[in-house]
This record gives sequence, structure tokens and C-alpha cells, in this order.
Amino acid sequence: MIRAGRVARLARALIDAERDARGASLLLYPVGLGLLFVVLTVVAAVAPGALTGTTQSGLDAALDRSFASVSGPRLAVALVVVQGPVLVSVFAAVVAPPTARSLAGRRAASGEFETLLAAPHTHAEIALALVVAAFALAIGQTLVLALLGVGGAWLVLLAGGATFTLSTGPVVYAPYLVPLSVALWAALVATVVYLAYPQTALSGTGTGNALLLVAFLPAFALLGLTTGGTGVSPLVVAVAGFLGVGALTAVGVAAVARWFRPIRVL
Amino acid sequence: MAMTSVAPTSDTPLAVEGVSVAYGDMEALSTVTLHLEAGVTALLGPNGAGKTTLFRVGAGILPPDDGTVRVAGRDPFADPAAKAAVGYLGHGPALDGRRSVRANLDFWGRAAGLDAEERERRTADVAERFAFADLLDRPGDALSRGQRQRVALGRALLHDPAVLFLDEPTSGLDPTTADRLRAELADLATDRALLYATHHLHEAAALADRIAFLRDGRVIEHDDVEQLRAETGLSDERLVAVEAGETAEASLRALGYDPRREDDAWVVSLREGEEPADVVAALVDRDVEVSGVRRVEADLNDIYRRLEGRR
Repeated sequence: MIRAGRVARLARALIDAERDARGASLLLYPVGLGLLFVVLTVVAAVAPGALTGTTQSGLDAALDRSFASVSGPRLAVALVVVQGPVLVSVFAAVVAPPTARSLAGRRAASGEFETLLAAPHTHAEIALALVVAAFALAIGQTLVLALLGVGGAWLVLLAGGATFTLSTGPVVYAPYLVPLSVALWAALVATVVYLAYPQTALSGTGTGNALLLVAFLPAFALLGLTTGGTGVSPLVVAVAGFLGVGALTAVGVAAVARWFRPIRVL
Repeated sequence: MAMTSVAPTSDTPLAVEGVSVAYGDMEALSTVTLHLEAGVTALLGPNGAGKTTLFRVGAGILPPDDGTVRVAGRDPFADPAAKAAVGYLGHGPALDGRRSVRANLDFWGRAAGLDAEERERRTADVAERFAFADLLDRPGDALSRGQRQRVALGRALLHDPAVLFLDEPTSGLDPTTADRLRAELADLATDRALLYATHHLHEAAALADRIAFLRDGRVIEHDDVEQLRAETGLSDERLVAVEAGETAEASLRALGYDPRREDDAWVVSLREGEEPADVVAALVDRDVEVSGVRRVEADLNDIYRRLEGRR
């Protein structure tokens, strides 16, 4: 029987241990990728010609579809408002696996997991605590990434004198929930992969490494649908992505508790 | 299989009953029964005998395919709170090298369900007991192997468990530290059960109250050393250590003995009516230089060889 209180206590201990062990390096990827998003916005604002043809046409289509009026750095506005959530999602999917690697993979590969399994918790509780810890850290990292990246991008737009009105209303900002569900999915997949293939955490190769690509799939699929000229509304893509990936993640969490066997990490 | 232990009660620290574990087609443990009482039980056996698997099953880490495990009368797989009575030291020290010793112990205390005050108190206790109080603020990566092992022992004991599983705890320690540790372990075992895997027969003989021999996934003997001597017929055996060079082995075998090397001597079993001087005389007749002879008692080496010989 799984006790939520025991899972929560162990997850908190794992989170605190990870924060203590990695310190500021936990924020290395979120800050780096957040700044990358700001740089992309600057490029779109200052030198839109530097963007690829596909990106430019995708942003032009977004401008036509979602905006009633735009002035200032038009492509940068479209980048931040329409494609921003999906780009941040891709970055969030990149940020989550290294944390899962440190949380679950390193423990399993070093033998520390064996001692953890002797602690007074069921094995399912231990697996869930790792998933919960990976989720909490992924949410924190994604929030830093989004706040820094999107916040910085908005400053760029304001500095460029951007003004706009949206044809779809404020609901267009709803897709900013997508990075959260994508980050949770990536954290879940990476945790499962590192529990199933602990040596991947050390070697970075093999079946486990190939399976990590599954962590990135939703983010890349959403990116393709948004920028690939499919004609599907980015809003629809993002909301469907949020709900779909979220549901998939919820099913995955339930499956982890049933799937996990100690022999996998011993 | 010789068993001295009686039927387990709810007070029996560890009762493993008819446990079998297979990894695919390979049977790691086969209907193993082992009851631990307070004191040190040394677990001996060749590599691949199933020692690690038995540790993992007993500590509630690996569920058995068949049989039952009880820690103080409770099933650790059905009732994980029972594992609060288990202290476990496996092959590795389970320390995060990036974090300080104190932070590591704090994590394991939280994993064991100790509150902050208890964690602080117990950390100070084990640090003093295993002499690493001055290392508490050092990162795990900055410790020597011996220091890590001492910290790992403290970690295993942090929550004051009733049953301790220690897999070769003196491995990698210098002789002085190992001696000190053995004394600590003997002290610890006065009020708790300690299962101790080792390849060092002398260490087992010096420390253990009981010996369990494991071979091919089966416990072939579990008894105290004296009982094992009797069980294997070694109580009646008269052994002598003949101080001679390596080349004496061939002569001893030619004379019908089954010698084993111990330090600078060959240990052989005297035949009926034979005296130590007879062995020396036979060797001298074969031009073997003998510098001394003395009587010795059968030890775990002999018991182990005798049990191995029963295969």
C-alpha cells in the first residue's frame, strides 16, 4: 500500500539533497536556455533577416492569424506571443532529463539505490518519491526558464516599442501552461529510463540513451505543428498539447508504481 | 543441514524461512532458512554462493520468489515500517561525494523517518563511535576509503537498528582501524543481531558467535564454531603445524597427508597412533628441512575445507 505522506517526506529529502549537491548548477540550463530565448527575440527584433525562411513564414502566418494590429518589431512579437510557449517547451524538455539523471540514474548506478531500498518505504513509494522529486525540480527549473526567457523577451519587445492587439483575446497566453506539462513528461520519461537502464547515467550510451528521445517527442511534435505551416491554430495545438501530454504523464505516473521492481536497479 | 536455532518468535530479530530467489534460469537462493539471534553471525561462502542475495532478501530490498522473511516478527515487504529495524551496509558506502558527511547522514536519517532532533543526536553518536566527528563537514569525495567505510557504518547504524547487515565491513581498512572496528562490532552485537559477510575466516572466527556457510544458494551449515568442529569431525582431529618450506608440500602429499599452508608452516592431520615427531621424521627421511613442529587447533579454515570436501 502506497502512503502519500511517506512519498512526500522522501521526495522532500531527495529534493533537498539534490539542491544541496548541485547548488547553483541546477539553474545552469534554465538560465542558459532562458537567455537563448531572449537572444532569439533580439535577433527577430533587430535582424529579422537572420531568421530562416521557414521561421519567417511561420511567424508571418501567426501574425495574420492571431493579431488584429501590430507595430514595432513584428516578427519578434509573433515569436514571443505565439511560438514562445512551444520554444520554451522544447527548452523545458531539455532541462528535465539531466536532473532525473542526477536524482535516479546516479543513485542506481552508484549502488546508493540499494541502501535506499532498505529504508522503511515500499519499493513503489521509493520510485514515486523519485518521480515526485524530479517533477518538483523540473517545475522549478521550468519556471525559472520561462520567467527569465519570456520576461526578458517582453523587455526586448517593450524596448523596441512594440504594441499590438490580439484577435483571439488574452486566451492566447494559455499555451504558456504547455511547458509545464512537457517538463513533467520529460522528467517522468527520464526517471523511468534511468531506473530501467541505470548504466545510461554513467555511460550516456546504449538503449537507455536512445529511449531518452521519447522525453523530447511531445515538445518537438508541438514545435513541428506550430512552425511547420500545418495551418493548425497554435492555440489549439498548445491547449491540446497541454491536456494530452498532461494526461499521458498522469497515466505514466500510475504505471511507474506498478512497473518498478528493485531488481532493475540492483 | 545443521540448525541450532529454534522456531522463530516475534522477538527473533531476523527469520528467513524457505526462501528461494532465481535470476532468470539461475537459482541464487534455494529454500534457505536462517534465524538470527542477538550476536554476530558470520556469513561465509565462495563468490557466487548467494551471500549478497541473502543480504538483500533479509534486508527487505529484494522480495523472494518463495518463502518468507520476518524482521522482528514483521514482513518487511508487506509492512515497510518493519525495515526501520534494518541497518544495511552493502558493497558501496552509499555516500554522495558531492555533499558533506553531515548532509549525507541527514538524508539517510530522513529516509529512515527520524525527526530533526533525533538526526542531530544520532549523527553525533555514530560520529563519535566510529571516530569521524572531525570529518562531518567534509564532502564525501574528500574522504579516504577507510574514512568512507567508517562513515558508511555510522550511516547503517544511524537509526539504531535491531538487525545489521554488513557486507565485508573491514574491506579496505588498515589493520589498526579494522581491529578497532571489530571491537565496535562486537560491542554493538551485544543487543542486536549482526549478519556479517566476509572472506576472512580468521576474522569470522574471532568475531562471530555463529557461522553460516552458504554454497550454491544453500545454507549448508549454521552453528557456533565449536559445534561446527564437532559436526565436521574436527573436534577429534589432532593437527600439527610443520614449519617447512614450500617444497615440503609434495613430500607431505606423497606421505598421504592433505596439507594446507598457514603462515610459515604446513598444517596436517595426524593419523591414528601417530605423533608429531613421526611426521617430522618422515619428512627428514625425504631430505626436507624442518625447522619446527607444534600442535594446532582446527579453525575455520579446516571447517571450511571439510565442508567444501563434502561437495
